[in-house]
Amino acid sequence: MLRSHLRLALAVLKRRKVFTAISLFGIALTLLVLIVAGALLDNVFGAFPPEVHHDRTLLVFNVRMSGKDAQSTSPAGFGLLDLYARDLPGVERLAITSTMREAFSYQGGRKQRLYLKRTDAEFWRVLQFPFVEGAPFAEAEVDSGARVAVINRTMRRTFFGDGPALGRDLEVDGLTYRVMGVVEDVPMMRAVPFADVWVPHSSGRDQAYRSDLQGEFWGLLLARSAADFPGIQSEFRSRMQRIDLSAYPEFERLHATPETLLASTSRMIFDAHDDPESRPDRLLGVFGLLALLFLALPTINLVNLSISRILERASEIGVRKAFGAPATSLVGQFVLENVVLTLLGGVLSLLAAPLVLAAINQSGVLPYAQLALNLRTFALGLGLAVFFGVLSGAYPAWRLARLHPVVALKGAAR
Amino acid sequence: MIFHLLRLVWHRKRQSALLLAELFASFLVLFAVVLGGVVAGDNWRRPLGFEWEDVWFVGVRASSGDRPDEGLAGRDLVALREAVREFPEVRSAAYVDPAPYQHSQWMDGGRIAGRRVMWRMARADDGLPAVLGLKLVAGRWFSREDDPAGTTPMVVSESFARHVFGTTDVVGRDATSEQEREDAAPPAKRRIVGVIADFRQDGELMGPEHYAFQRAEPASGEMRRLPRVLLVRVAPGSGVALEERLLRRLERERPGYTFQIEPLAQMRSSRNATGLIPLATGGVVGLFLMVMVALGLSGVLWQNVTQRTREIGLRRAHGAAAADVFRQVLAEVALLVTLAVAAGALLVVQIPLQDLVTGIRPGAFAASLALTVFGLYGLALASAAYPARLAASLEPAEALRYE
Repeated sequence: MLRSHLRLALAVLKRRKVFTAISLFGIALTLLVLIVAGALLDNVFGAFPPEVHHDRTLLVFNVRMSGKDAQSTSPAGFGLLDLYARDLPGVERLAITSTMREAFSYQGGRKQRLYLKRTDAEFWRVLQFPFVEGAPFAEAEVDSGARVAVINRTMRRTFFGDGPALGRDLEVDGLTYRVMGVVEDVPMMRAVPFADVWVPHSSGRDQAYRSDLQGEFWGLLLARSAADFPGIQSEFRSRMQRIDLSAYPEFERLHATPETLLASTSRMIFDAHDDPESRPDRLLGVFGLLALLFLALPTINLVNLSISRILERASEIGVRKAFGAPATSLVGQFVLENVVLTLLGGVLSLLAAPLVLAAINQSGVLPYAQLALNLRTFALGLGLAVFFGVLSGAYPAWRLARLHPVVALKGAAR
Repeated sequence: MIFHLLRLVWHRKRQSALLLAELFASFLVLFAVVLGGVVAGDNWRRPLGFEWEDVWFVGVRASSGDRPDEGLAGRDLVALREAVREFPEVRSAAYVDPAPYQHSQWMDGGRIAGRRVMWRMARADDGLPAVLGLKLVAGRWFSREDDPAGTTPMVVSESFARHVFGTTDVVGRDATSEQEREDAAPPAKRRIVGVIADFRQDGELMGPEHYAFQRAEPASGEMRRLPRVLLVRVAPGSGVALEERLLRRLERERPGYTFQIEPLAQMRSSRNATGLIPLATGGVVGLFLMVMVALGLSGVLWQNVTQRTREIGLRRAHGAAAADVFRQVLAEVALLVTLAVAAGALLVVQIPLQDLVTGIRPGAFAASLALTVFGLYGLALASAAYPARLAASLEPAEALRYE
C-alpha cells in the first residue's frame, strides 16, 4: 500500500514538472536557511573538541550582586571561584579562565590584534586541546607567574612563519612571553575555549584580582557525571549565600549558578541572573518560535501550490471516493505525497548546505569558523523537511478529503 | 467593475483567502527588510557631528580594582595627557568617555522644564572639540570658568535643546531634572553652557537620539567618575611606529596602568560591519523569500487560469477582446494585493502610532511603506503577467470545448 502510494506520488510529481520545480526551489531554499542556522547554533552549543567533557561540565559565567538601589552584573571574580568554589562534592576538577580580551602585539614593527585568555593549569585538563607542538603550562608555571604562552596555529604562522615556535619570544601588550605550546585553531563561536593566546592568570602586571568577587573570570566545573549537577548547584548556591558582603555596603545578596552552556546563555539573554532555576528551555523556545515565524511564508506558499496541484486531480479523488475510500486514507495519501516532495527538497538543501557553510567559513565573518554538516544537523534537516511537509500538506489534504464525490467527479472543485 | 471583480474573488473565497494570506505575509517580510535598509541609508547620509579621520583611541585602565574606573587618579590622567601632547606628531589630545564607535553607552533621562527626555551622554574634558572637530552652535565648550563646584556644566546637542526648550538659544538655562531636584543631596544642579551640532556617538548607523556632554576635567580636582579614554589627533599618515612609541611612553609614564591604542577608523569599520551584517543577512533571506513567492504566485495563477478556461472562453465568445481578459486577470490580482496591503499597512502604522520602536524618523517610515506597497504590486503583477498572457491567448472556440 505504502509502496503504491510512493510510486503514485513520484509519478504525479513527474507529470507537472514546472510545479514540482517551483515547489522544490521554495522548499530547498527554506530548509537551507534553517539548516545553516541550525549548524551555527550547533557549533555554538554542541560538543566539539576541545570541549570533550561538554556533557558533564558546568559553567559559572556571571555573578550578580544586588541591593535595594544598586545592582551589578559581571563575570565572576577570580577570588569567588578560587576561595569559594573549590572541593565541591561531585566535582572532579575546577578550571578558571578569564573572559577573552583584545590585546595587541607590536612584534617586528607590525601591529597585530589578538585575543588573550588568562587561565590556570586545570583549564588544559578540563578541555583537551590538540597540540601541534609543545605542551600546556602546568601548576609550576602558574604558581610562579611565569611569562609563558600557548598560542594557536594561526598566531604561529603570523609571528614565526611555518617553522616551530617553541621557546621563541612573543610580545603582547608590552610583556614578553615564551611560547610553550602551539594548539590547533578554535572557532571564536566556542566562547569557553576560544583565544589566540593563552597565558597563566598570574603572569600579568598586577595581582589584585586574586580576591575579587566580580571580575573577568569564568569557572568550569567538571562533574563526575551529569547526575551530580543538582547536588553541585545547591551546594554552590549555599556557599554563595555565606560569602561575607560587608565590604560592599550597597549590596545585600550575591547570585551565581553553575550550569550548562545553553542554560547560562539563556540566563544572560533573559537577564535572569537571580532566578534560582536553570531555564535552558526558554532559549530553545525562542529559537523554535523564530524558526516557526520564518516558516510561515514558505508554508502558505507551499499550501497554495499544493492545492493547485491537487485540485487538478479532483476526478481521481472522485473515483476513489465513489469506490468507498475513507477520508483518512485520502488524507494520508496526500500528506505522504507532500512529505515526499519536501524530503526531496530536504535532500537538495542538504546537498547545498556544505557549500554555503564553506562559503561562510571562507568569508572570515566568524573567525576560525569550522562550520560543517554533522549527524545532528543532518538529522535536523531531515526532521525539518518532514515537519514542513506535514505542516504544509495537512490543510490541502483535508480540503480534498472533504470534497463531495459527485462534485469531485465533475472536476468542478474550487 | 470593481464590484464585479470582488464578486469573482469572493466566489473563490477559499483560494483567495490563501493567496491573500501569502500576500499579507510577503508584505510584512518585505516591509521589515525595506524598513531596515531605508533607515540605515537615511542615517548614513546624515552628518556625524565629529571627525574620525586621524584620531586614535587610547583606552586607559588602572591595573587594580574590580571596576575598570576605580583607581584612576586625576593626577595620573593629567600626566598621561601631557606626555602624549609632547609628541610632535600629536596635534591634540583629550579625554572622553564613552568614545565614538565604542560599544558602550551611557543613558540618562528625566523631566526637564516639564518635558520628558531621554538622552545619551558622555563625560569629556576641556579639550575635546579640538580633537573631534565638534561644531559649536551656541555658547561655549567647558573651560576653567566651570571649575567652581556646585553646578554641573553641560553641553547639549541641537536636538536636545529643541526637544526640551523648543529653541537652540538655551545657554545659561537650568537642565536639572525634577527627579534630581528632589532626590539628590546636596541638590544637583546642571547648567547648559553650550550647544553643539547633533553628535552621533555610534557613528553612521546611529538613529536620531539626543546627546549631551558633561564636564569631567581631571585637572580640576576631585570627581566621582573619571573618563577612561584618551582621544589623540595625530598628523595625517601616522602609522604603527608612532602607535608603539606612544604606548611605550605611556607605559613608562605610569607603569601601574595598561593601555590600548586603536585608530577610530578601525573601530568605525568594525562597528559599521557589525551593524550591516544583520541587514545584509536579512536582505538576502528576504530576497530569496520574495523570489519564492513570485514563483509560487505565478504557479498558482497559472493553475487558476487553466481551471477557468471555459469561463474565459465564454467571455471571449461574448466579444471580449484578448486585452480585456489580460486586464481582468491582472485586475483580480491587483485587487488581492490592495486588500493585503491595506491590512498590512493598518498593522505596521501601529509602530509609529503606538511608539513601539524609537529611532525611526517619520520620513523614513513613510518612504519604506511607499516602497513596500510599490514593490508588492510590482512583484504580484509581474508574477501574474505570464498566466494573464496565457489566458488572453486562448482561442474562444477551443476554450469552450476544454474539459
